[in-house]
Amino acid sequence: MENLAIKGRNYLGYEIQIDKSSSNEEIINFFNSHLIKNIEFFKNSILTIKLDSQRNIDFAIDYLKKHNLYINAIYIDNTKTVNNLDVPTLTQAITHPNSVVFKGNIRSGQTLESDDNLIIMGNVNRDAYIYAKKNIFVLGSLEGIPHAGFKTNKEAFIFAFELNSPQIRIFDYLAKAPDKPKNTIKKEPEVAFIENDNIIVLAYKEWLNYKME
Amino acid sequence: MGKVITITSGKGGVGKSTTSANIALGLALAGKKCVAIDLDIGLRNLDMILGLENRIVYDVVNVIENVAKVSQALIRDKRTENLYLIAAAQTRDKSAVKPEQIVKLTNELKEEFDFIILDSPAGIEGGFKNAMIPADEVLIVTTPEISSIRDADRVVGILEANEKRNIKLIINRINPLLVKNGDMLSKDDVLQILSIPLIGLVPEDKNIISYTNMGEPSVLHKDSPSGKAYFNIVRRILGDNVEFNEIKEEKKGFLQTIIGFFKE
Repeated sequence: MENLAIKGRNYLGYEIQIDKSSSNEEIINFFNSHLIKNIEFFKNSILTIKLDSQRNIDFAIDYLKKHNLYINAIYIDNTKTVNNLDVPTLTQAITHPNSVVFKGNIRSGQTLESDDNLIIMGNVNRDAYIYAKKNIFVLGSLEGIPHAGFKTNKEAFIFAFELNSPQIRIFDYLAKAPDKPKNTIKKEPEVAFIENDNIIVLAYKEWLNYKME
Repeated sequence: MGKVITITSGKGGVGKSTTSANIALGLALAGKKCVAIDLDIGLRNLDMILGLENRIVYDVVNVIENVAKVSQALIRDKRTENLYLIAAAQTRDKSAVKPEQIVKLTNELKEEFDFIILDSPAGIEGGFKNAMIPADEVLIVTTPEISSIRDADRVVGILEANEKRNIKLIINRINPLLVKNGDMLSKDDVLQILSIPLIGLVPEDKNIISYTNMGEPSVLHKDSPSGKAYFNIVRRILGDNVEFNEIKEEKKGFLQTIIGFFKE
């Protein structure tokens, strides 16, 4: 099956590649045999679809949705990105016209500021600083220092695929990472937010449930 | 038309000058006409590592201040006629030259040489800018320790901000025993942080100190582990596709183990 494939992406979960030569039927069969069969494995990861040409694949997204698999983004020709995020907050943030979206790594000594949401598609390295008046989303590893809700917003939160910051700053609260390094083998998206005047860090899935309650 | 390759690191003492000397000499031995320029003005070393310190008459500052012609400051290597050195001035400091002046100098040298190797000083101030601005390609030297990687990351950030896109990484002084025991960052750890393409892995080699003192870079000692590694880097610069070998501990024979035991 050359025209359909699943590729692991460094921090971006898994990418489903769909060639223009594959028929709708083939796609559904592929989903059944690869994704749905291993649903336990894929259900918590971030899935994206990569197309080599424009085509309507709503049926595929709906089909996966029925099986509790959510597609987070669609890439066409590597460049054009259709964000079709089913993760509720992230969808709103990325599609919001004032959000600042940065593609690439923020390196040591660099800073990035946003008057609204800040979305970084890449890593934020140690000793880099990022500020946003609203929420921060790092679709990569966050090793630098984030400051969400900068001066303005106590409700702001920080999302990262890997949250390894030495310090987390939200509004005028500050939390320091534990001096013992955390278990690096387990990598999962995490969210930091303020609750009762404390900064709390939760796994993304737990945070979603927490929000629903 | 020649190519300017800048060798830099951010942090000091990671092996920029040693790397510059080996790459310059390696390229020369491979038949390319090459000039190495030491831009560490005030703290010159490259002449020593290449074993050419007795021959210095004019230096880079003399050329820039029009005291000497470029041809007068070019010191020919004693081993190959393909390699020349322009030494740094020891009596001045980094502020004696400006990036535009180095660009003018390298543009002039590009006519005659295939490769111009710029040995950058440590830091991110004026001296580093002198070496960075003229570069067509930048090689970052780092050791597998977190302080050196952090500095390299900072330097890559500055390079990217200055539209330098052709950046490659050399990981120097890899100690196979420490990597094996998990006490040293591995190649993959370093690459994950810096995310720039790799061009060389150089193992820790205790002979380097004596090579430096003798003024004989490792590439002249083809059997030494560092000499092999630098030779591979030279081949990659010339466009050969050379595989990256994992650096492993050398296996000692039974007899050597016993000799080693008595030596200690």
